[in-house]
Amino acid sequence: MRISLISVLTTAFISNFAWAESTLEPKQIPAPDGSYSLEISDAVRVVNSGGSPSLTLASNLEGVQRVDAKWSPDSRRVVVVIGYTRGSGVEAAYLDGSGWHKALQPDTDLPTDALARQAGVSGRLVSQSCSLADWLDSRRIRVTGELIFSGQKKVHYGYTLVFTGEPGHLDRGGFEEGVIKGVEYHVR
Amino acid sequence: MLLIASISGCDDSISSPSGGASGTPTQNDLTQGQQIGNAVSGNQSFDNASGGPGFGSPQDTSQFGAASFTSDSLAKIDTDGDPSEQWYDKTWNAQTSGQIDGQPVNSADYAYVVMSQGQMAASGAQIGDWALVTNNETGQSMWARVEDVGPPGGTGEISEACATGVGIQFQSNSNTIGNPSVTVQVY
Repeated sequence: MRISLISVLTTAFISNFAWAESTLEPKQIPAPDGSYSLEISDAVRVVNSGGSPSLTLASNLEGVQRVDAKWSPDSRRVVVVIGYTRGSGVEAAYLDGSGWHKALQPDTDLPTDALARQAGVSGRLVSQSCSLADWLDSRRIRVTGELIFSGQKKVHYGYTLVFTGEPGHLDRGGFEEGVIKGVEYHVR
Repeated sequence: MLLIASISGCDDSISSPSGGASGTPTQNDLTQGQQIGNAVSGNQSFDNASGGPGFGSPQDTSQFGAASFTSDSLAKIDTDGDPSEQWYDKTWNAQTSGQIDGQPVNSADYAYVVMSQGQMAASGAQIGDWALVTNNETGQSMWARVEDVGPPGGTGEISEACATGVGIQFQSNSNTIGNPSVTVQVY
């Protein structure tokens, strides 16, 4: 009994103090038509079929724990979730007549307070994560996520990420803001 | 045994501010504690770790130009990376996104700020970048690093060492005393 208790406590101790090792593994995610791939290595890039980079979405992955990506059915858009231990963000690359562009979903899109109220949860937002679900068509993809507030109170939410087709404004990081937008946020 | 040692090592008293400067910061005002290495980022190691808490201050701020990101909001204390806070702070996390020698950045020892992934991407900021943190009530300022990534929209989240450095008091459960606010400028 004593041994098993020590074992449990030791396991809990070690797991709680595990260092933040990145679990990223290099991989390539090809577009449905094979014309481009999303390369995840020391950076996140769109590369052409010859392996040459067409666009860099993220050049520094320090601290990144997870990168998820899904290509649109028409192979002209790819949505990427970049996840850290306590937060994540949604970026996208899209192809138009002038080449590849990158877009960012701004933080202000996420109605944290409204979702918390809807779920009857309060407290300090500690962490957030999200995952890509299915494409509804080549301009809309479903996203699901989780908010964790202090005291481990969780709110599961979903929304639809839409490529608006509207011109965005370029931010300091080189992303076009306003090109992708979350709509129909709801508690799941 | 380890568990008991960890618990007995905790201190639930209110942290007292130390150091700090008033008014418009000068280079000297902004140096809190002793410099611990130079241009620290991510997994770089410190060769001369000694003295007070923090990353020290940048050697040449004249090259920074305008801040890439600025926020002005209520201060929140991020205790992540500080093992002694595990049992007291319900928001505690063992890990920080930045690392020092492959280990989390200890909130109690290093002055750091938290940004969201969206804020970093939009501003071009990266883990390890310098940030100037100012207590809006007292004017006390200190240099910190971006060393953790938090949820979207989060602002004003600073480490224990940073809070102490700018004169913000907090409890061991990470709640601040009063409602102090901070301005964070990332370069």
